Amino acid sequence: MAIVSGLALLIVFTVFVLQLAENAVRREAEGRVRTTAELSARLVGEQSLRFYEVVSAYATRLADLPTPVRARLPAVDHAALLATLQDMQQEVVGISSVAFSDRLGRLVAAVPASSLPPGTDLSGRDWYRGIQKVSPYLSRAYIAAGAQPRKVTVEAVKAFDRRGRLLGILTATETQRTQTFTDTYGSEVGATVTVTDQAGVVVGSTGDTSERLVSRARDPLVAQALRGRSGVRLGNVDGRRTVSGYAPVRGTGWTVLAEVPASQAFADVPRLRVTLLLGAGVVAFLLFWMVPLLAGRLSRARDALGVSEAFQRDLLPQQMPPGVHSLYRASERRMLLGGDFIDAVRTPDGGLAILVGDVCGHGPRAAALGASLRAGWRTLASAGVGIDRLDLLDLLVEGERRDEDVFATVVCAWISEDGRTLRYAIAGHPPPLLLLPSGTVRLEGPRGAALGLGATGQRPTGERELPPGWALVLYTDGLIEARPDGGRERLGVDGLVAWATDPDGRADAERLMQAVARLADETPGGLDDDLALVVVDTSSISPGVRTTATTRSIEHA
Amino acid sequence: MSDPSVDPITFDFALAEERLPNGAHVVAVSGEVDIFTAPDLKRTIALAIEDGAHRLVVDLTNTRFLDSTALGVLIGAVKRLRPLDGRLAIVNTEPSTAKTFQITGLDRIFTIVPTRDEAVSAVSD
Repeated sequence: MAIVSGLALLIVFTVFVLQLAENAVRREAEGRVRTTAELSARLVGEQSLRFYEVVSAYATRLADLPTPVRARLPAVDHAALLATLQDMQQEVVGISSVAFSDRLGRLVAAVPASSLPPGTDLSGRDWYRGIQKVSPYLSRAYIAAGAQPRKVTVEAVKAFDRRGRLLGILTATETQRTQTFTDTYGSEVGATVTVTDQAGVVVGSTGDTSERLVSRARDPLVAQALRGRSGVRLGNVDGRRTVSGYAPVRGTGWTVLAEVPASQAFADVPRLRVTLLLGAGVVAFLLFWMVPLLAGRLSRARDALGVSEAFQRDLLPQQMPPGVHSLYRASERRMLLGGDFIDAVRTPDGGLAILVGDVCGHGPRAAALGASLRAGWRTLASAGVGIDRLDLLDLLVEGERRDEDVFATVVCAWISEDGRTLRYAIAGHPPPLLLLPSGTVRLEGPRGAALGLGATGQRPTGERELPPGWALVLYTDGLIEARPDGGRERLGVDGLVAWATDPDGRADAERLMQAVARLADETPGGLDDDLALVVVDTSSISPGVRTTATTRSIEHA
Repeated sequence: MSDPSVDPITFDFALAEERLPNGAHVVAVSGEVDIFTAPDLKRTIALAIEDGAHRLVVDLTNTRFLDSTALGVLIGAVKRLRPLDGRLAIVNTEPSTAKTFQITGLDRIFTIVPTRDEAVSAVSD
């Protein structure tokens, strides 16, 4: 569920960021195309201006030419004019022809020689009409007459004599300048650059080799540029999504259109998308892979806890025989498995064997060893040797421990079927207490060394007669090392004895168990160590056990 | 080691090490050694043995309490020294600690003496 909602959030976030970033990239790309158009327009304008300067320089030269004798109108010497035109045609790069017409638009001379005879009226030409309004005038594109039809433009400049009187009009015809520019610049910026004349007719366009007149006046963008506006638009050109920038060429009325396929203009968008989606993919991967992994870890940790609980259960018998009261608390502070273990089992002779032990250290290994010891001892006790063969448990500790520091202490007791005899063996364990009506006895000895300290042999056993009203108390060091009431003082065996004694000085097992339960439940911050307590009293000697069928029949007899 | 009012678990536990001219290495332990502080003692002793201290004296004169984990550390030290032909002696005068050794039967395994001088000579023989 968390994964699904995380993924949904991720998708929303990714889409949002993608949109923002794409928009930014698109705006930036569109800006680039618009700049390309505007820059192209400026370059075309500059070229025209330079060309005009060149042509007007020659026009100025015409003023210095000798004038024909007896000329009524301003005029130049024909031979001198022709020579100047020849110079110009040779000196200026990019012009195919030059011509000079008089002020009424009649052809005077042309280089190379025109197919039209001198005196031909050219006043109908676009450049003648244009020059009436503005000089210099850059003409519209038209197809020049000749052997090969060629698309040309004409730069027309008025020529004056020294007294400022109009001599005529100097025209220079260009064929390639604009086309060369659109080819070179277009390929440089990766755009299709189209230059149109003042009527929207294409003068030059990147890659265009046709010598035909094509009008793009109906193209809304060209129309905008013809109206002196510049801008950029995303649209379809020949069915392809295209980013088009448009701008007017100042001073000429021409326009420039720069077109870049959207796929190319927005080339950064897919790259951006890939980057973003990769990022999102990583997050999704983390969501889908890491989260279950972590969840797996968690569940394994939970499993481990389950294992812990299983171990903890193995440290105790499933059920205590009647009359055996026990209290077992693992330290909450460490949240670890303890090594304390307890057991009680009927022996073949009808008696009751009880075990309390402690593996030093904590954790699963200590718990596992504790569980092994309990099982091992249970086998011994069931075979009737639970008290006499603690040396076998030595072998168990030495065989099963994983760390040589580990040792274990145990105390075990056997109570005869009639409840009148106690036998016990102690291996490095704190003294059990025997609660009697006359007072409490500490079973300090006999005592053997702890298990796992090296071959120490069988532990000595002690034996006592039990008077009526007895109770036997076995415990682990976690009890006597506890600090009751959060104080610094440890309980100690003395404290335990005090807890087991009522105000009248009588031993009281019930009172002891209540005190220990209180300690386990109420120690501030939890117990430092595990704690185990087993109390056996005369109630363990059940009438059912004492009165066997045989004895009953005897009693009845 | 730390403010007892702040951390009741590790209060006044401290270790001091001293390498005597005759090669005996003394680790003096003060305070209480329990599940929380025993690992420090274990590490210190292990490092000393690794460092060539095969004549080890653990001075428990100022140690008030040893739990079973601490006893395990001392047992481990004895076992680690055995193959190295090393020795360990314990200085102790604290009755409750003596009682712990007695109950577990470790008094029969450890060399326990009342003074540091005796311990040093016990490992130096």
